Amino acid sequence: MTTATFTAEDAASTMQMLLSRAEVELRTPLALIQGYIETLKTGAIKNGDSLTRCLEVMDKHSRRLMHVIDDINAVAQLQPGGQPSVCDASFLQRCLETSVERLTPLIEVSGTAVEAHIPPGCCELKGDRMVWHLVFTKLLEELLRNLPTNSRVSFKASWETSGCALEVSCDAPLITRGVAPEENVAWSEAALGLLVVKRALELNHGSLKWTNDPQQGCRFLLSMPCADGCASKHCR
Amino acid sequence: MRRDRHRAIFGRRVDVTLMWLSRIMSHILIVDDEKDIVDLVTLHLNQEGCEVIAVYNGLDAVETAARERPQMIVLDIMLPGMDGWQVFRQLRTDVRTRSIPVLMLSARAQAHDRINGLEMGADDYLTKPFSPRELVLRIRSILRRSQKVVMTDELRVGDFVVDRQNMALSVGGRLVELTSTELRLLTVLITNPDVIHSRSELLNGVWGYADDTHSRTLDTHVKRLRDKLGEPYGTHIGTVRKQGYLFVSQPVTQTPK
Repeated sequence: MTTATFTAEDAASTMQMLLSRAEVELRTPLALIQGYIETLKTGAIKNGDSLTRCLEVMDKHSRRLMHVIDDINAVAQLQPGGQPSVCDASFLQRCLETSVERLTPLIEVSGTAVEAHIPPGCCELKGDRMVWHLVFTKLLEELLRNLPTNSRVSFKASWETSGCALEVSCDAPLITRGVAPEENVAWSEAALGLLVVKRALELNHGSLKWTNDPQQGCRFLLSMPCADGCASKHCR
Repeated sequence: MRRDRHRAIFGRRVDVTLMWLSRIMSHILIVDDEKDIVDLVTLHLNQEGCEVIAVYNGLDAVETAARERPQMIVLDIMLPGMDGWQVFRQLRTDVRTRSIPVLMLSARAQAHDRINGLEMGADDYLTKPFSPRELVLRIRSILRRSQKVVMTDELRVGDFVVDRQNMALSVGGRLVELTSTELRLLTVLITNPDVIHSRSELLNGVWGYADDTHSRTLDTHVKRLRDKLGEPYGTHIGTVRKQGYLFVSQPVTQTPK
């Protein structure tokens, strides 16, 4: 089984990368809020409809600021040294259900169909439980926020030599910046939320791959380590 | 392709006819994937009498710039499809777009991003959040500088011929490909040959900077200009240490010992 080990240097540089990404994501909504405040002060917007539109833009981007702040909070939780534990075979199923439950309002608003295929007798995952919860909730949240409305998201677990694999496929591509849509996504340009998912997964010695195809949609492959002596029939 | 020609926004229509009577309208291409940013900038540029063409990704930006030939481009860096750096490189390799001034407007505010943008030859780099009023003033300043170059025709000094109408330079009968910034720099130097131009004078005249904190940008552009001119013409650009640069009309050739 391949596991990643993190030095203090790795952790510091990852943290720096996440915070610099957060800074970039804060700037655009802030530009819009400040820009429209300046515009209102000049008296350029006079009629009621324009004023309403202006306030809507400011409201939308202030909520966007809140999401970035949530992501920064998640970043703050991503410190190495958490307590690894063995999660029982039904943990993955329960964990996904909890994520779906927490994000139900967002699922309803976006009209996204979420389905999960976790076969019985799944692996016993190893790692910090809180971090696993963060991985699944944050990944689903990112998809709900960045996929077109009425998309379909499917979680499917399978087994690989190094542990459990979770394939997350979506029928639409994510809107990404800075990369050609047909190429694999460059992590340095990914949204902060996805970087948080990647980092959290790495903290639990897993890994994340991501492809984004304008025709086929996007696909995430999460490799998750299972416990030594895992009781799953696939590991025995 | 999502492409809008904005003239009315927020239900407000600029009286274009009146604007035409008072000044020549500028056509500006805005490239940003955030529609709200495009709307905000459009609103302010419309007030200045500018017509705005908006595109929301890098691929459309290159195509639209070549077709519409705007007087200026406001370019975001983080774009879907093709990022702003790639867009800028493509604009500079296409003969139809290479002389169009570009202002980079980006959320990437690290010093290395700004330096990279300016060293690549962008005419200005503004970071988000920005003041719309400041953006308009910077655009106006760039347009003013680029129009100055266009207004006069040909400038000849020795083997150097600057065709300001077509933003082209030929040296000894050979066409030398320069970016708009490099051409402006050479034009400033060549207009007064054998006269030292201080660093701050050049930074202000070519880039519009009020101080000389961007002096590395100047040195990089001078080096690139010399490289493009090649031997022996590169020696016409002289350095006066701690002072500035000058165009030397008759450089002294060093004979090998």
